[in-house]
Amino acid sequence: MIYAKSEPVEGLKEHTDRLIRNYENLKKLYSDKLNNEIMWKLLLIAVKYHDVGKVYSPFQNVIRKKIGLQLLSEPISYDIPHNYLSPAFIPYNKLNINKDEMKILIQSIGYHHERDKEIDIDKIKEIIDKDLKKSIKVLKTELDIEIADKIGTKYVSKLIKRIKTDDNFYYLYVLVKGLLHRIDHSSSAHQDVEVDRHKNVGEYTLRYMKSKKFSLRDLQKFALKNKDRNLIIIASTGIGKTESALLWIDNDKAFFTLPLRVSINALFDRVRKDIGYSYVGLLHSSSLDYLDESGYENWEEIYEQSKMLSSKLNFSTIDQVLKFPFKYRGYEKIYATMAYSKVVIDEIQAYKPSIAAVILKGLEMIYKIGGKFMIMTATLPTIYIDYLRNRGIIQEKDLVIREFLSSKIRHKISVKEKAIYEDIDEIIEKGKNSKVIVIVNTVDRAIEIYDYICRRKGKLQKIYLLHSMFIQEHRAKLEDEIKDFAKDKNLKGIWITTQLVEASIDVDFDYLFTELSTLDSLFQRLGRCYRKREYDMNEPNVYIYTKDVKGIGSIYDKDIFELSYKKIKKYNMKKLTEKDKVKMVEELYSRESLQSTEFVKEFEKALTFLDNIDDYDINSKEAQKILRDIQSVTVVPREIYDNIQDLINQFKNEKNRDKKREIRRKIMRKTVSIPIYKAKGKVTKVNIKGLEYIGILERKYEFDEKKICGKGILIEQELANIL
Amino acid sequence: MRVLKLKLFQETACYKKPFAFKTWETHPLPPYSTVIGMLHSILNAEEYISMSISVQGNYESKFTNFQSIYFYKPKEITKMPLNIHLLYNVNLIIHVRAENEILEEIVFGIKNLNEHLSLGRKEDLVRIDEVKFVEVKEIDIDELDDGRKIECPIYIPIEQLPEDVWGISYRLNWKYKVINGLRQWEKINVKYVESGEIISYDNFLQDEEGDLIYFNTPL
Repeated sequence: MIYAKSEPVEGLKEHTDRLIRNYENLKKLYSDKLNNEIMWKLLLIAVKYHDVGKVYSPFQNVIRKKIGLQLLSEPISYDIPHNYLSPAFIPYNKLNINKDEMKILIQSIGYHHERDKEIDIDKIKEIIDKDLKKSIKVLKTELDIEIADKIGTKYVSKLIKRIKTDDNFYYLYVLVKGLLHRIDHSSSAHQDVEVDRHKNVGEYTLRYMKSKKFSLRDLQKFALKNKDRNLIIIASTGIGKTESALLWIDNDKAFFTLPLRVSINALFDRVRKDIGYSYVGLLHSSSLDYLDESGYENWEEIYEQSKMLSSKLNFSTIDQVLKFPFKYRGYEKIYATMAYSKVVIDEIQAYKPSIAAVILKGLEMIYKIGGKFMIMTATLPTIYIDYLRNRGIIQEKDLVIREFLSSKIRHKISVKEKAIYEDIDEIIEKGKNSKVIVIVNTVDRAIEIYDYICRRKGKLQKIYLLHSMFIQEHRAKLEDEIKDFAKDKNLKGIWITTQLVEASIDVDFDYLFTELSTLDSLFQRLGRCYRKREYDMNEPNVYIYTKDVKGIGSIYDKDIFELSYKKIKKYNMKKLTEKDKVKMVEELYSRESLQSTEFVKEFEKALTFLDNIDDYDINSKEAQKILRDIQSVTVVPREIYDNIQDLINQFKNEKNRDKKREIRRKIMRKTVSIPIYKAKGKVTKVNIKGLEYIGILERKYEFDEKKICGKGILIEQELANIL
Repeated sequence: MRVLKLKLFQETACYKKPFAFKTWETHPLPPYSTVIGMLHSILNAEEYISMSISVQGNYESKFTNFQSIYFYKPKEITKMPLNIHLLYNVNLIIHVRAENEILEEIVFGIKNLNEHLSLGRKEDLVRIDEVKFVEVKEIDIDELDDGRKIECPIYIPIEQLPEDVWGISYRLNWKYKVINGLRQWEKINVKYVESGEIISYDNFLQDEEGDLIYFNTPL
């Protein structure tokens, strides 16, 4: 028998048949979206022949050795990957395909594993003559597919020069290669390539709204009516954007992206539990943890499905799905999926300009390959719209920009010409009888304020601190705590946080005290105060501090901060309407206002980079790194590490793979990601196999698990500039 | 089909690129016009004689020579030193297709030369190693499992360039007409294809000794 896999043992025919079934499945489910006969034809051929090269004796022997079978004789033992050999066996002259299609086929198969190995035609010739020719007979008896009678190296000339973006059959190639990746990966994991095709999230959403006696709002009606178009929706918070997006997605496969992991988790829960739509996947780097911790029984399955992109509706951070503009080796897998999917980009203003450039480039590519997108945002810099317009992606007929603005007035603001720490007493006073949220720009400022307040708190009921420098476990507890706090009408007190809470956590406080950031970020912060209520007081409910502000020039662009200050100053002691906000941000991010600022330079630099990327130049990990943009290290604070020695020892001694994975997840809950430059010189390596990427942070850590309160990591003065 | 095959050797050669004034750069093989010029001088031709040729060959290495070059200025002749790029130990194979009579005349001419032959610069002498008639046949690529490796660098006109074969573009002079006292060149776009490239999907011409042939003009 010719083997294809060793774990579990699987014959070549069995494996190929599995792929063919998945191919049929995909075609049945999505050929209405991918209406392209020649693509389906080429894909089927690719599926049938992709692994035939595994017949090469040295490959067979790798498997035979693992499963304890007698080894075959190897006439030649060059280390040439099977995917470079598979195309030799295709009976090209019987397929009725042209030369371009032949090239697509050969490269889709030849690169279905991406390797750095060079293609050495002389070695391939020797392998064909001395080894492969002898196996034609056995292939013919074992497989149901037609094998060429005479095989040679001619195909290699079509393999060497890779198809790139400017080839005119590029999109056909992306589809064939990308879908082959999908089918191969899910078949290898014994999973279906696509599931739940007919579970319509739009219907579920409508049903849910009906049961709650919600009537459709303007925005939702609009989304429902424009399901077939690309949309940009500018709308303020609390106006039903999420439901609108779900109605727009309707019965299509979709990817829903958000900037922050916490908000993705929250949305995932909402769609699953409230709306009752359980055909959802979760794609972000710690999603496995979340699913496990939240008690979803079939977490492993959900995760695997998501990993294979098979879920009908996927919630994701952008680094998981929108990294294909980097055209790293293997990017076709996600890009091809986009051709029959819809993509929702929520809160685009929350990304740095360089990341926004990647997203916009991604949308351009999605548009070109036939997918659809929706941008939902509270504010959209004009330069982003200009980009979409200039690239011809926005056309009157297929894209609508609409502003859905609530007429409710929710805030009256006070712009203070002083630093936030000068008003500690006032904050404490308010915190005694109401819910107060303080949002500052850096972790060290948050800790500073926390210390001040603790020292003078008096009769204050509660005081909490939440920022990004807590280990995962504690941060999750704090996030739950802040939600509970906000919900409980009787609780009064103060939460001190960073912009961490801007877009992610659905909470409603009575007063907001904040350092000024940029306007878009500021207005997000406003959303944490009087979230849905109408403003009903005389005194302001929002206090903005403009002096000695932290994080300017590092977290926030200096020019944009200055411009923001000039604009917001005019609204001192005034009520702020949604229209005012949108107008201000629009002006702030218009081309004229931003001219020659770092913001525009960064955006344009990133675009130039993306436009000139050479296909296959970088690998997927590197692309992901650029997207995350933060060079961070995963660390366990020393104190915590010393306390989990039992867990570490268990991990060291565990032999069972699944159990080991489970222990590792427990250890990961004790870690926190911090920027590399912050960790420098303070980290000791963990010299345990499987935990090499974790460091021990030699700094103090403070958290009281009973009171759910503490300062987190204390890096002393060097604590600035971390979210 | 019977064609004439010449094997030539030059110890040094510079097939100067047009407009290479400051430094004399050389083509990797003599352009068609250069070879045609040599054949016409063998024939003592007064006017253009119709023929097609195929040019291939290799050289051992390249070097530069710093040398005085004479120039015409409006009223005087002046000189200055220039860098000359030179090929070293050049072996060429030239196939010539023409009326049989013409081919016989070329053979006769070579046997009765009045003066030494050169290609490129006058001082780069040509040694003629072989002159013979060969049979040419078309090879069916489907008969070859592994395609045909190109062994010797060759000019291939782009219309005839085989699929997936890569080369460096040149626009070679072929023949000229005199218009208003000036030479107007007819050009041919070719690829200079180096050894190691493989012909996989196209038929090709080959002589009885197994050498490839790509004529500069259609049959």
